[in-house]
Amino acid sequence: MFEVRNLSYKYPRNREMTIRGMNFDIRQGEIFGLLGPSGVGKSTTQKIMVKLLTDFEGSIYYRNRDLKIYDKDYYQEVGVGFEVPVHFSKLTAEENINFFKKLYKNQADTDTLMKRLGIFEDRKKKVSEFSKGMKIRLNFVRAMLNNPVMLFLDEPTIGLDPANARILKNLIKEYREGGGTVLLSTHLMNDVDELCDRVAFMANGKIVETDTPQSLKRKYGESSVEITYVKGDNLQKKSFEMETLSKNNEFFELVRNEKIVSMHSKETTLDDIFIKVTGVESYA
Amino acid sequence: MTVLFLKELRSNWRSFRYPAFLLILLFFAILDPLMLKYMNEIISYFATGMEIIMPDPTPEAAFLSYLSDVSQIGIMVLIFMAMGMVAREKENGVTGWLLSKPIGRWQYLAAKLLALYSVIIIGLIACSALAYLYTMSLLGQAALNGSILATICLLVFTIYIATITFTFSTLLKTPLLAGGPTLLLFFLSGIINMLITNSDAANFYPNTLLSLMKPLLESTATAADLTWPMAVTTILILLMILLAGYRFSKMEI
Repeated sequence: MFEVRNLSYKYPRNREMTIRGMNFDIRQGEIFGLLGPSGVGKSTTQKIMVKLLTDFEGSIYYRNRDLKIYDKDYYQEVGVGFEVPVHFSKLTAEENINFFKKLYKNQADTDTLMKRLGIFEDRKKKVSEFSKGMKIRLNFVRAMLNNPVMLFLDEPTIGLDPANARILKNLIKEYREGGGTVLLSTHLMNDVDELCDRVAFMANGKIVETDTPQSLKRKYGESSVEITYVKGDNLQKKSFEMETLSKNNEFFELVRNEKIVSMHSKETTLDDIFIKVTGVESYA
Repeated sequence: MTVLFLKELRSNWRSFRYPAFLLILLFFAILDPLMLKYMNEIISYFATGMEIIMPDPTPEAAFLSYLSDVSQIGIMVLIFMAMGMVAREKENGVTGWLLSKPIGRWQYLAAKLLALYSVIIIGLIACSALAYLYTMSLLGQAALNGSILATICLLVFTIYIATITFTFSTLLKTPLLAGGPTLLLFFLSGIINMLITNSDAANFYPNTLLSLMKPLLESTATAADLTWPMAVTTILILLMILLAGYRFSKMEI
């Protein structure tokens, strides 16, 4: 779907490059996660790919054609949901949808989408009366106005309660099952784990790791067993590597001789990988 | 384009930007003829014990009073109304969102400009007609030709200032950054106009359109006197639109 090669970008007023030679592909029908700490260039990459920032170096191919060749018809095929939901607050939700729906040749059934996201009943209200969560859900409907074949989502669930985040994630999965492709930027590693087929971690304006979440967990995995036991009057903790557990005499001694309070297996999470790869704590 | 144009009208109407401008025009269209008609009575009411003799108001003076008030207060309200038309949307991310739809950058600007011009043209013509008719009912008929030409002068000058505001709003980052230079330019151009009013340079100066309103109403100037200032102002308007459009088409949103 997308082939990005040696992508570099510098904002006109900045001294330093924001993006420094990024390479990645997005395959048709996958959810591709672009991950990294704040300010690393995730949103900038999305803005380049939706042609809002055009003065970039390197090449981007969309459906085997140079992105620069596409005119405004490109937007007939893509849907964009920015991180900060921007709406016309003096217009109703319905007007926010219907005004812009007319711009598209292919139009989605937005009533059904609004019903599923629980904002259909409020469609006649001005958006200024909407809560933050409702604006985020409306933002998603607007990204889907044209039944896009490619969807750009920037932090789509941030600010949503768990129930609505679940509905939205289900919609994203259904969209993929229907053949849609998604570029997802987020900090939330739980969302990534649940949604993404492949992920790319960004650090210092570059992609430092790309793979499936499962492969990354294997690659960076250090599964262990953590035992909490009573020693004298105190609780003590000890970790043992899972792989060598069957040959670990210390582990067996401990289980036989001490009073065990709890025993947990610990697997590497995407959070751990995020910290390891980018060197920054995630926000999940 | 139609979609954007209608969105622009509705959005600005509901946010009270357009109504604020139209109400100001309406206010002066009704108040100025009335004030001039009853000026003697008003003055004698407040200045009891003094005898102040004012000349009888003429219909031309009443209509000019309306045009002058609009050319100052009306235009200032217009600047405040229009200073954020692009800058505000760039600042809050609406522009980026809109341009990720099948909307060309020139289309985006054109819809905004058309909506603004429509409100100015319709508002000014309607309120000027109202002011003219109201003046006629209170004080008698002002010269029709002169009134029409003076209104056209005000209309073109207002569009000129609106275009300056729009250009700054397109080029600069925030509404305040756009409004400040426009207001400064507006006041500065008024001062320059006073300095050059009797020189040949005045023929090529947009503010001359305002200076000509009085002689046009008094029939001491003709349509021919408008040719150069009108042509220069129109060219400036077109150049500013081209500048705004060109810069915006290259802008990283």
